[in-house]
Amino acid sequence: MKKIMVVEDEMIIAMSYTAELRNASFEVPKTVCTGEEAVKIFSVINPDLILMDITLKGKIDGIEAANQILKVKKVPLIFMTGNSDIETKNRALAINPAGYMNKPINLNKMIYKIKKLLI
Amino acid sequence: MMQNASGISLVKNIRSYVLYILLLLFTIISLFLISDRARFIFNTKDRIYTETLDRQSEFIRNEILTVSNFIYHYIEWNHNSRELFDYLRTIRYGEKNNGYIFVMSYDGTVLLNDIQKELQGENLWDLEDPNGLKVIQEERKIADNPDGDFLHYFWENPSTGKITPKVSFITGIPEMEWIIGTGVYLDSIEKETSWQVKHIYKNLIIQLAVFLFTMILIFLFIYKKFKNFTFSVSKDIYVINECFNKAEMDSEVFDISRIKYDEFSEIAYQANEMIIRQQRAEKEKRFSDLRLKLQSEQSPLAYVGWDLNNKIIEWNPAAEDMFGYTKEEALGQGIGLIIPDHERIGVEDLFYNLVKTDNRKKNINQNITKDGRIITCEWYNNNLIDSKGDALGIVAVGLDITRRLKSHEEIAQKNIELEKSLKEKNLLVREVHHRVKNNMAIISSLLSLQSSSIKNDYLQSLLQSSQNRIHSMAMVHEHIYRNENLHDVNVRVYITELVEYLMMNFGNIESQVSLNIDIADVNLDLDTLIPLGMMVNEIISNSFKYAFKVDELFELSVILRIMDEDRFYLYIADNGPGFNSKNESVREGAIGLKLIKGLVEQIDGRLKITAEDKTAYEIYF
Repeated sequence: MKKIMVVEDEMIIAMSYTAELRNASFEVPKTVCTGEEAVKIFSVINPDLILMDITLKGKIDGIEAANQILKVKKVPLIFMTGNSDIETKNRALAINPAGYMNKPINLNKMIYKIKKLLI
Repeated sequence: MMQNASGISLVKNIRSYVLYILLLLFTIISLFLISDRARFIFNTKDRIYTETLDRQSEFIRNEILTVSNFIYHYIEWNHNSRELFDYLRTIRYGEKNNGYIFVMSYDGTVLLNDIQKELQGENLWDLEDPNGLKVIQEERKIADNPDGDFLHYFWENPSTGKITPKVSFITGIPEMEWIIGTGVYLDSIEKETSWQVKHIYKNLIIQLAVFLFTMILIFLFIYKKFKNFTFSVSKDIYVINECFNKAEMDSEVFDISRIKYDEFSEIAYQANEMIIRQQRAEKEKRFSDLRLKLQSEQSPLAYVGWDLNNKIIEWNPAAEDMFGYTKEEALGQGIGLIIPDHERIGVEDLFYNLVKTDNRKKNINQNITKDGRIITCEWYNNNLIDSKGDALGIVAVGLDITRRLKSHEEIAQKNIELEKSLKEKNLLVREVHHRVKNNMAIISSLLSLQSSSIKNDYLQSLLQSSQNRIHSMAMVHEHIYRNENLHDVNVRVYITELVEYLMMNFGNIESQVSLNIDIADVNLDLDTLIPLGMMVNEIISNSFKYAFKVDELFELSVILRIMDEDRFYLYIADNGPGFNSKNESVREGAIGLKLIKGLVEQIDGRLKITAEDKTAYEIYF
């Protein structure tokens, strides 16, 4: 079973992602709320894919956290953001993510993309 | 054109006077010719004498020849000499009837002399005249000439008793041995010649007198006319001169009716026109001067005049107020009075260029007041030139814009603050939309969580419908948040994304759907777009829910057109079964249709549903 790490500071949204992913037969071992925690726990979880919110609580945002994670290991990463200004988007695309989705997230679309990446 | 002209032309008058002068010349020439004739007559005095003498000589010759013929005829028939003498004695001729015939014999005896009767019977054979001419003997010689001849000699004139030159015609009557003759005394011829000359003199004098008189009359006439003419011309000139003087003193127009000649009237008329133009120009100038003076004195703007040496020559009350110097203090002062040192070179250059090349120029520079304050003034500088175009100086009209500049700075500062405030507001509004969208995402997620724990398909379907409705609203806030414009959203982009979402959400059925989407490229505000999005969501969700069949190609049309300026037409149709199918009660009773009708009413629209071979929703709003 493929492991997916969800990084989302809105816990209800994170829970909905988790429920949908589990329904689609993915393993979600951990949901984290900050970029620092994501960087820290990434090596422990060793996920097959990361769903990364850009706007996060803490000192670093999702782009910075993804940047640090991808320096450690190349892993598919999908940004999900409600902050869709051009500058942020350009920063996010600069690290060559596997996907970039604007909130509100269509969960079916999300599952469809993840399946295409992992299966 | 000229008015009140007299109708008398100076030119015509001059022409008339030329005629008079010609007449005078003609008279002079005539006089000259007459005098020339008189001179001719004087020169031929001798000729008259000769002619008279010839005429008299011819007369006496004819007389003698006639008498001799008569004697020949007489003696041919009658030899009575007494009767003949009686007849010859009666013969008289000449104007005074003093001509007579004398007869002498060949021996010199006087046979007949009726005038000098004492000589009859005397023998004058040896008679000599004072010149020693033997008169009778000469006559005897002539008597032998059958044609007769003239004899010039001296003889006593019986009329005067004096011995005078005489000419006689002599012929002989050989049959009778007579010498007959008659003569004229030359003193009488001289007398007649003198009389004739005297007569000519008299006539000449009369002619001269007549001519002189005529000439005097003509002269007087011409003189009178010319005097009148010159008087009229002088009068007209005097009137024009007087008018010019009056015009110069009082700017009055001429009274043209006082002028006689058209030419002067024309001059006066033109002068009047000139005076009227001048009066108008002077009036305008007075008005302009007055206006300028009033403007200068009452203007809130400072009027400062500069001569070519950059000395002040004009200083109005506003300048006094602006700079603090009275007019007396300012006049004659140099540029340094109101121009601070750091502006001096620039202003001097400006003045130099104004005089040399530029006619007017606006500039802003700092000035210094009497109390040492630095103020900023806006100056409208104009080059002053005289009528010949020569520069006289510069007039600068100035306005103290120190406060205005300060106000501008304050306004600019306030504008910056307002702009900042507006940006903050927009940021806040954007943030509100962001948060609304996020909150809706959370609600959607909650429903999703709720849905995952429910096993009942119907309940799951209800929750999914609610999620979709929330999502359609959240998408509007998402678009607003992403837009530069916070008021409206492009409906084509929004509905296209919504349809794609619904297809994806229904289970990635894009490959089985033949989608015909044609949405007008127009922006709609939130009040319209949110109900419209929910309607599209309900209709398409219903289509997928009740009309989609896995084993058939599903045809879906979504069309939005602009009907007119504010009216639109939405058409959504699928190829599913109509309401008369077995699903009718389900579709009719669904909350979705109620929502659609309610939302159509909300946007003031009309709904038309047709369900024959396909189900179609037509909404006019």
